[in-house]
Amino acid sequence: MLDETCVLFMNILKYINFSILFIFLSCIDPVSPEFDFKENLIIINALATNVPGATNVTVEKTFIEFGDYKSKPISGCAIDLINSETKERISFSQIEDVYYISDVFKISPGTRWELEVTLPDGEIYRSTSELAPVKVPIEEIYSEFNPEMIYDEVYGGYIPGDEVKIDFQDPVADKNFYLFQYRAYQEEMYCKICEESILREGDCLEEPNNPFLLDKYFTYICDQPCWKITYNDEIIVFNDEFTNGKNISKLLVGRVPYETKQDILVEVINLNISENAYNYYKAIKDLIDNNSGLNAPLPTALVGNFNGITNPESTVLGRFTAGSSEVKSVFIPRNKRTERTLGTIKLPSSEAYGDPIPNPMTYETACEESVNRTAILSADKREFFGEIETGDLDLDKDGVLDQDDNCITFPNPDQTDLDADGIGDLCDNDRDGDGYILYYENICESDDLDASQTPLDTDLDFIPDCVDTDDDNDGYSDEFEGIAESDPLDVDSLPLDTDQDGLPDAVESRRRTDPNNPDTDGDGVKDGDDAYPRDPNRS
Amino acid sequence: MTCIQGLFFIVSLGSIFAQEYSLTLNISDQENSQPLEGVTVLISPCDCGGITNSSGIFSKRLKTGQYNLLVEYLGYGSQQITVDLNSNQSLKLELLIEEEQLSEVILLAQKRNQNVETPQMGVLELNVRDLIKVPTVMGEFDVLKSITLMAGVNSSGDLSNGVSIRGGSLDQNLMLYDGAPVFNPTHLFGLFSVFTPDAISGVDIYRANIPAKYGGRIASVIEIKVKNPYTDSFKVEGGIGLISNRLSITTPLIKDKLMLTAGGRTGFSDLLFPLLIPRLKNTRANFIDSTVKLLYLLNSYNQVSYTYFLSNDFYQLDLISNIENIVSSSNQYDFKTRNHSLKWLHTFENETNLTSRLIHSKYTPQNLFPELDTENIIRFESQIEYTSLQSEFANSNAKGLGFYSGVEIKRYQISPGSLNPGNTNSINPVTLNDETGFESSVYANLDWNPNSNLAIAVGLRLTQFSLLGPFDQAQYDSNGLFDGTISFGEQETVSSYVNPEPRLGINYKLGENTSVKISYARIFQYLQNIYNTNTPLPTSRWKLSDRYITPQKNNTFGLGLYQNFLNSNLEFSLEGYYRKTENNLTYKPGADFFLAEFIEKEITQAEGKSYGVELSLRKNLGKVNGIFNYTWSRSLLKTNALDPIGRINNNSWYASDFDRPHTVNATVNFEGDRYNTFSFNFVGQTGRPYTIANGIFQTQNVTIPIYLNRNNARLPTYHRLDFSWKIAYSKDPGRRFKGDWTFTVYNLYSRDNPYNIYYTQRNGVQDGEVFLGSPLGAYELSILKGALVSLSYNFKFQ
Repeated sequence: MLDETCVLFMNILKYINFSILFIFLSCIDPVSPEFDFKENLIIINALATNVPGATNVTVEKTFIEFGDYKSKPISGCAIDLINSETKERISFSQIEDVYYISDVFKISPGTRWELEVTLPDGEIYRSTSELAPVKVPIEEIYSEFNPEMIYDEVYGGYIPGDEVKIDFQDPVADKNFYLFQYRAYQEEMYCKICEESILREGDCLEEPNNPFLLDKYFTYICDQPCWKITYNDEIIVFNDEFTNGKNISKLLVGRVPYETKQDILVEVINLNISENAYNYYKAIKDLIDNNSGLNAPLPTALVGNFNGITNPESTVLGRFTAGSSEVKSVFIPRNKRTERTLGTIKLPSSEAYGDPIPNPMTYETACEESVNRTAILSADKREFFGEIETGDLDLDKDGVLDQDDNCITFPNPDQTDLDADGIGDLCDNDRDGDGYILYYENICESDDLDASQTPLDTDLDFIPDCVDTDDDNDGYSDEFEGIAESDPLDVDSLPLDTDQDGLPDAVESRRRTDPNNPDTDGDGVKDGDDAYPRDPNRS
Repeated sequence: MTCIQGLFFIVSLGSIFAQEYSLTLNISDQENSQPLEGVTVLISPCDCGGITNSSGIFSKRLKTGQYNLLVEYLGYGSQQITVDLNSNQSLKLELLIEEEQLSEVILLAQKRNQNVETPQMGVLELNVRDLIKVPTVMGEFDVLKSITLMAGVNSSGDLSNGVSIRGGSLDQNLMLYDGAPVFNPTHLFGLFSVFTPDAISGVDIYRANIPAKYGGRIASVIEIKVKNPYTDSFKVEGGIGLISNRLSITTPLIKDKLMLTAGGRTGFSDLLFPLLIPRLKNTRANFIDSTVKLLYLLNSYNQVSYTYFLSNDFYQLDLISNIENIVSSSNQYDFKTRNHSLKWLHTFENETNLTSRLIHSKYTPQNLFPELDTENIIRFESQIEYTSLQSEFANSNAKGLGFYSGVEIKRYQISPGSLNPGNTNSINPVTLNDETGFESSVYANLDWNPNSNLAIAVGLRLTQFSLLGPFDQAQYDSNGLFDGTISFGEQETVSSYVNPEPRLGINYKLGENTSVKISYARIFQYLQNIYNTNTPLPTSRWKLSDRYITPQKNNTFGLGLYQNFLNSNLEFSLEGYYRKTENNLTYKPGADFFLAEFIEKEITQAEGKSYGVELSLRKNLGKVNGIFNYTWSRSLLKTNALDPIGRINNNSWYASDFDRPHTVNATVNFEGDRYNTFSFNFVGQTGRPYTIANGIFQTQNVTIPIYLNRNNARLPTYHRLDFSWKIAYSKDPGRRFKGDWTFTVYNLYSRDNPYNIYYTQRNGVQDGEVFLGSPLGAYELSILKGALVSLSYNFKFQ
């Protein structure tokens, strides 16, 4: 008996503990971000490395437009890279918004450089001198799957992912500072997803009056092999202050979230940088990655290495960094994994023959080059992904290559096309070409294989009367016209609508809205367009 | 037992106005009718009183009027009576033994000990009874949480590793536990204070004219006193709570000679955190603290006491960001405090005494880094060792003159940090050089009452501080670049400072119930805690002043008006202060203090000013009693640096982290009947200053906020209401075992008080309806969401 009481008591205790601890230390809520924006800040980001063509500079100026904070690239700057020892000057030239020296230019480890930027208005900014450090090679690169890689406050749980780790020998001679970034490639599943819309001529087309599209999405595959590129979204730096000259193993250099089961190639960029550059990136890390904890370093100004020459008091942000970089890749096969991925991947949902959507039905779209997507992947990287079909594709394997196929998603070796509109019958939502899609012809009991058979369509808007809510296209629905006793099939027979708000007076009296006030609840939405015409808080 | 805490200001008033009558009290023991000597009689509104003589008689002449009399005697129940004095009156009072009777020896010893405490002005006193009434987080009273309800005391938020007094930083308070400094006053990153609750008898906070006997921290002195085990019998007290459990005993070891009190508390939440909150899956949090005090009454003129205090914490918390550049599976914190205080009180015949203290404090925080795939643990270790010797001679005679004078020598030995690889070869050991400093002071104070309306306290403390070698001092060239070091040998003086610290307090009585006080204090600080976060980590670096980090300096001016109403049952005070400080420490952009060899590169020193007005209303007696405080104050900093990195906010004045223009604190207690006490406290204050971005830019695929100014915005207003219900159910007061339940609700109306607001990278459409077109997202972190309910059981056996 006593034991039972004890157990009960313990259970109560547990319960109380639960209620207490659950609320304790567990509260993170989104809030509207606050800023105190300052305009006209000059930001110069510059990197010179040993990788041919990678040396580049961007110059930006901040401004506020319609309440949004933006920065725009400054064109027409004169930029020189100056060798600190020889004083030799090498000029940059502008390609679009970025300044480059050339496709082949590179700096060697051990050389010293500084950067001078002259803005079109004559202001001159100059960086301090940066020594390009020695390059420390990565010996091993590998990945380890961690089902609890990182805790995500917003998601409210641990995110699974692959941790990319490296081994290397830190040189004894110098202090070494490292910045790690990655670029990861995986096959793009869809080149476009249209939410509540369909892809027509490259854009997602919304059809507001088409109830079929409500709460639906459509996926469009890429018309050629296409790779999605993702990047690290955290700053990973390393300093050998405690490990000088040691063999460093299992250093975490990248965290790749496990979002899909597709194989992924992670290209780690190891940039050896100077101590000052390390301090700069460490400060960035404090600002963006270490800022959420209980012991978060308080935010501070990020001090770069540019100084105003013409105006020493001017504020210039950003940094010129001379680095020595090396790239090493690791391929992470994920397609055989049984672990669940983070979140849900959109299942394929392609347009289907017979859906109430207009022609031409679309299944694929182009792989547009951007920072997040490319169709061009070097052969050595492609090799990781194994056999990938290139050249002439035949998606439906019907023996007709996609470029010639009049219906690429359904096998139609016979290529029949009743209305000769170039869309094969198996893909044609209007096989007879009479303008009425299969879906309507089925409902209205006409024949989609016979162009002479068309459903009754009073207003000739290609929405037949049997599915059209406004048969005469006069702006008043058939239902309203029925109530107001006007003729729903006569465009000239309009119901009485004193305030011209789209609701006939007869309907307004039923809905208890004011027939003399076009916006009864005063919420700015006409009664005829307002789903809640008597509620000023909803429309 | 009922302790009589606190000091009574016994000021005799010359009565010049009305007709006077004599009031005579004859006080005896109810059981045996023996007269009681030394019973304290406190009379209001005259704020006067005294002690009964050997015949149990106390007599006083007072003018016509109504008086409240409070009669208290150790070991007896106190009595409160109202007297209408319009003729000479003689009253007979009988006191009932409350719980026990103490021997003459102990009573005498206690009286002598109390005489040591000299009356001071500008003190905030809290005794155990005040502390217990305040509702707290886990159902136990907590010194630091309770004192943040006093005027002018703040913290850095719901988690705060210390308190801020009158706009000062956390390390500017000298926190003493029975005389020994405590360098890390909290468990679990600020959740509980480390002081063993059952061992505390009271807290004194000096923040205006800090007595000359104290020095070394510029904002305040928080003296937490451990109970003296004046006892004849064995007693046990304890409590069972949800997070922690505690037990203490008080017992004589040799009757009338040697007495002991020993208490402890443990908290083990290893199992709870991971089970209940996925986020805290890897959290471990254990702590223990214990206080032992021995009192030896050698003879009626000598008593020796020894206090030992230990506090241990171990935790691992994912919400704390990792230390960089050490590859490990987790970061753990393990820190220990070990304090010893030895005190010898010698009383001379003529109201004089000599108090000597030998103190040793050791604080050893560690970070543990369990190495990946091995059993090895890499350790970051640091230590502060403090030793002091103080001797003070005090004389207080009844003729309106009191005097004390003493010497104090403090030795600090700081091991700022070492990295111990254990048996791994993967990292190099690092050891920063120790710092050794001596702070030697002589001080004297005179309390003088030239007439019945005027009381003056004048003090002077003269301090010499030396930083001694071995020490490596960095040299910098004219561009501020590192240019080698100068090495100092053993015992060689690296830096030396001599500073006089005058202290002054004047109390002038304008009328029977009204007085005005003026105070001034100058103090220097040679030891500082260095951090760049909201609240310091237990492992935050401590640093002695050297050539580059010069001593902090404070000049405090105060003016106060005090008025009592309703026979002193309602006390009103209005205090204004102005503090001018120099060499406050603030961090430079991108500062990293972890094992930094030359820390002066990472910090900049700023001048500061804090000023404010504190209004306080207190009702002490009656079934409904409480305190209401309102404070208007500012706390500002300004750097005067030449180099661009050290120029915080371009060398203009900016709000310090502890700037709280408006603060309201209130506590109300309803002492309805013998069994139930209900209390509420309310805290409301302007939100903490924090920093919002002045822009953003993109680099390395991330969006980076640009900050140009510091503390340019404020968090939302902080407010919170707490409730506590104490249920004492022992019906028979004579029972030896007593238990009571304390039910508390912290944050009764579930206010979400943000601890911090920070930016995040936009992650797709996540929370897009809140962030809208902003280039960055933002989240607010609150320590508590919802009300925190707790229940604890406390018992006492004697």
